[in-house]
Amino acid sequence: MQRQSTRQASEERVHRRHQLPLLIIALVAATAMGGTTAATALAHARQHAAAVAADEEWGSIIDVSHLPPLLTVKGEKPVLDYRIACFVPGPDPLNGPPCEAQGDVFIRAGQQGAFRRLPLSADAETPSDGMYSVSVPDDIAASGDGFSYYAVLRNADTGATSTLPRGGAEAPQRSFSMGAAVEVDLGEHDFGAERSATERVVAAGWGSGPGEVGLQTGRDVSTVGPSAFDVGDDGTITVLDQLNGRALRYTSGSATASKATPEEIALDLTGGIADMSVAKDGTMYILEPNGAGRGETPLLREVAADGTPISATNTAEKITGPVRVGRDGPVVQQFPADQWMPMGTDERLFGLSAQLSAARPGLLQEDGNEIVLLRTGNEIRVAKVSAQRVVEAWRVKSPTDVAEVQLAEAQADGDVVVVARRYTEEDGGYSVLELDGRGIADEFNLGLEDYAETSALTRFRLVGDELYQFGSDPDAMYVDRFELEESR
Amino acid sequence: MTPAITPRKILLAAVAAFVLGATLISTVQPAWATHRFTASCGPATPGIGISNFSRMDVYEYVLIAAGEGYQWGGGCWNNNNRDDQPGDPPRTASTHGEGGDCSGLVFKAWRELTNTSSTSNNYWAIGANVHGPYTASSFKSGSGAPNVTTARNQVGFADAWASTTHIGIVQGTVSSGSDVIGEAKGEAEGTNEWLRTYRGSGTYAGAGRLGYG
Repeated sequence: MQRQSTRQASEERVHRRHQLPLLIIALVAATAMGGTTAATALAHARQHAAAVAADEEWGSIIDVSHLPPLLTVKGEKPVLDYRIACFVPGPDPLNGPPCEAQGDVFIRAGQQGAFRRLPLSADAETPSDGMYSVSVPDDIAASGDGFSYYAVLRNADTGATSTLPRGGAEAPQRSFSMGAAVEVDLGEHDFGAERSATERVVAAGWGSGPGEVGLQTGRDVSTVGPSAFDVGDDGTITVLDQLNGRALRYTSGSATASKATPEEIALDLTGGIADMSVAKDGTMYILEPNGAGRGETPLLREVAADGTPISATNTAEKITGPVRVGRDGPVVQQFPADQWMPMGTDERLFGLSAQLSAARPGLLQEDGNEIVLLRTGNEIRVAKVSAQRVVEAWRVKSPTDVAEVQLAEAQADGDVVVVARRYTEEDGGYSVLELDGRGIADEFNLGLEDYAETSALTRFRLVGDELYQFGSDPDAMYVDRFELEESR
Repeated sequence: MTPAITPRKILLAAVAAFVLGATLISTVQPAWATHRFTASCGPATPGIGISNFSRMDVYEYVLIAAGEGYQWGGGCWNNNNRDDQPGDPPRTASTHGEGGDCSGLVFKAWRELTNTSSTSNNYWAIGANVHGPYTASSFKSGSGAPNVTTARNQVGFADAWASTTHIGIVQGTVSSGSDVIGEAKGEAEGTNEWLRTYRGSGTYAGAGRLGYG
């Protein structure tokens, strides 16, 4: 018996010695199988959920774009054009049948009273461009008080609707009659005949060290530098160095540009091309290009002067222009509404409804007037609006092609400064105009200085009688100051 | 007698290991699987031949890409209005994340073929993982049969502005004269529509596609 037990024990040890590797192999295989099975299942579940969500979304998408005739001249017959994008749900709506879009415009003479309903019609000349139009009735177009309107657009296949502007009757789009506008004829732009800066107030090389600013370059990526700047009434310059996650503050009275050492304020940013404006107390309003979550619109951050986050709010619309700190708080120009919307006061930021309900076509100035701007073809229309009526207006016509208007703001003496980019096939440059009641009080040209990209409409700031330009070249970013001087 | 490692014990251990593996993967899976987004995409060829397409078709294609991700050298995307892999290391295709890059988006939006000698129209689903043979510089120079250069003052709806390193499609214009550009901008921004001032910039030139319907 004892001999048999010994043999048994020996056999069991051999057996276990063989079983142990098999056990290890089995455990590893089982773990791998469990992980793979779970991953596959989760991936399929996510894809299914996404597919279901995507199918549900296609039918609800109705995207509208519209360029409002913000400023009209006597005798013009404005046409309201709307480009409507919508989809018919199916296997692949992007390669499926076109959706049937419909819409109505609600319009009235002036800025008060009942609206008249006018149906939109598909553009017969270019039916595949998604354009739907209605002519403004002659009696409304002829109103000396201008007109106001909004549109309701529909996907006839799914019933999805969209109102533009989204404020609807409460904050319709407003068009103003320019009346007796001052006509200004610019000559051909003289590229190369550029005014020298009164002073280069800031200069910073590329990099991430003290006093340097970030630069993004490379194949198939844009060359991007600091995306925004602002100038305070006291001459303090703040530069948004988003690639290095900070703002740089150059205090007025610093040594010359080559010796200026900015204060660095660490910021928690996405690093995308953001715009920025700074309030009198140093509070920074930073407009990030995207929100953080699903389908979110751009995000406005309110940040204290020392970099401490205070608050944030999403914009009402998906596309944004500049952020500015106005008389009543921060405002952002938003699209497709093409309206300036208040974003808050110095106490709190606004949500969606507050932005939409107080939207206006122009940028509110310190004196309470609005500056309403429209670039139409190679003509720049600018109007000072008070109590919903044009009090002063200019039609600036250019034989050289006009790109965008970078700045249109009023000075304390009532003159309006306009900075517009003009271009040819080979060249580009800025025209700086100081406009008064008789036409051009001052005029000069500036170079593009746009080696590195910034936020779209943040190349210039006007402080009193001084214009600041935010520029760059392959070696550095810089801020130049120009004194405006009336030539008559 | 020392207890043996019985088949029953092996089976129990295997089940426990299976559950452990599934639990671990469920926990870490989001980080891992999001960088294999392209594994869920369709093949790069052949696409669907189409007889014609309109500028509005280009607009809508870019519209759907807006809000999605950016992937250098990519690619493919879904329609969930979210960048599923934001902030990947830039300028590397190895992250396999969601989205196209700037030239890849234009290639697909303009319904082009990988055959650079052909002007035929080819529809690519947003989930088809294809970049195409062109870079931004290619489009800027009008390289390839379907691509043309466009005079700057003629660049309009569904045309593009191209530099040697970037390209974006004109989706519209606003009151200040700025263009609304649909573009795959970069990891920090993703793909979306923004106001841009490429029109008057010396860095950018007009680019277009032959054969809009």
